[in-house]
Amino acid sequence: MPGAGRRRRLLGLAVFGLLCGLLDLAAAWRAEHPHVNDAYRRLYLVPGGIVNGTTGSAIRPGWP
Amino acid sequence: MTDYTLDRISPPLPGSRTRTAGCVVLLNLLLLVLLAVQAWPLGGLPHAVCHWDCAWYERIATHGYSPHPMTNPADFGQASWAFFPLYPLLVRAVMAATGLGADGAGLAINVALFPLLALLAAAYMRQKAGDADGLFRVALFVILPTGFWYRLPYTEGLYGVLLLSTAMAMARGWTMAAALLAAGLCLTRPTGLFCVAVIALFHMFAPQMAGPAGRTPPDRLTRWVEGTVLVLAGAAGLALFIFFLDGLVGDGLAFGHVQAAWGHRFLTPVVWLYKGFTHRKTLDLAIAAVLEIALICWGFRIRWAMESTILLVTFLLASSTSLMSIHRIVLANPFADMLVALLACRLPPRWRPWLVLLCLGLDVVFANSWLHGKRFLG
Repeated sequence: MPGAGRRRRLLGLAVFGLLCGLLDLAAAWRAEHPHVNDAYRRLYLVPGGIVNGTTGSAIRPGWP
Repeated sequence: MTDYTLDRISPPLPGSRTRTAGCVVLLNLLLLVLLAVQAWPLGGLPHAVCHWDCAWYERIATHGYSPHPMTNPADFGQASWAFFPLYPLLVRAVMAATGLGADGAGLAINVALFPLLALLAAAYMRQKAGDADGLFRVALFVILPTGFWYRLPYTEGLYGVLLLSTAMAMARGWTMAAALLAAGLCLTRPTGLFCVAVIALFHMFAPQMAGPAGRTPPDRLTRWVEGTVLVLAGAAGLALFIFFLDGLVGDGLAFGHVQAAWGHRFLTPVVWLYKGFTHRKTLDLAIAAVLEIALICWGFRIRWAMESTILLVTFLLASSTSLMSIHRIVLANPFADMLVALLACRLPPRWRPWLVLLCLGLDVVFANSWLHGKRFLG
């Protein structure tokens, strides 16, 4: 591929990569900041909420 | 990783493509007929093959993702968020386009995708291992007992096609096509992004497959840009699912957190393997895991480094949370099946007819077990 064509292609790829990277950063930020109710937090985000496919406590957390 | 010298891809022998395609189509038809005959008394093929995860995919395809988890004692806490969206979206699209039910649409997708996967695998093996034994290799790829999973309404067929075509598109320098395929791969299964990262790293540091004849091999800077774009595009696919789950339940990583409801938790693979061997219920999975390790080692030995690394990463990811489905997750991967086919080609030629008969026999046994809801295949 001639030099100018190659540079244009790489530039296009870099711009596309940058857009994807911005999307990835936004998703990583959202993933790091969950906004969930207490029932969800106790069940899935607190270690031991579910053990071996059953709830860790005898009482199941209420689910709306 | 070291740099390498590209061998140019030679054109296929005259008529070999037609023979390969004919062989793939005929063998697929034969296996489908065998499956359909066994499924006939159980309510027909589409209905009878839908077990385990298939029911989740159908529910997502017909009703969408539910924001609420299951509350029955048997499946408390389980939710559809664990299942990635591309396959159920495809089922939904086929349902809308053809008027088929979810059962029929799921089966139709995999019936169409498996021959495509086999043809891609044939081209891949020819490029990496030459033309010798080409027809036997592809025939074996189709009839291997591990190929059984590709015919089921599961994600294996779609995942295999996307994985293989991403690797092949990158080798040809079709970066934008590879990027789109990588995004699709990351929307199909949770291991997708890791496979994309392996493909990208090998592309950047030690490309494994030659490009088409007449094309100048890309320089290092180009390979670095292409590899980076591939990872970012793959991650963008996953990002879409994260945004969706964030809107649905408020947790973008819900697909991972909900795994606890299936009994998955982080332990080193060695511990899971030990537990597998000490419990009768998981003994078959532990044996499968050991065989998979042996296959991966053999892959490295014959210098299928990228393919073996993908299998190793997949194995480590799957076996770090449980041995559940380890046989399906690793062996229903086109690279694993290609390695098995290549291994079979090294056996004495007089064994081949017996090998074919063994594969067909095992396929019938697996189909029968699956249709009757035996859990060991799920």
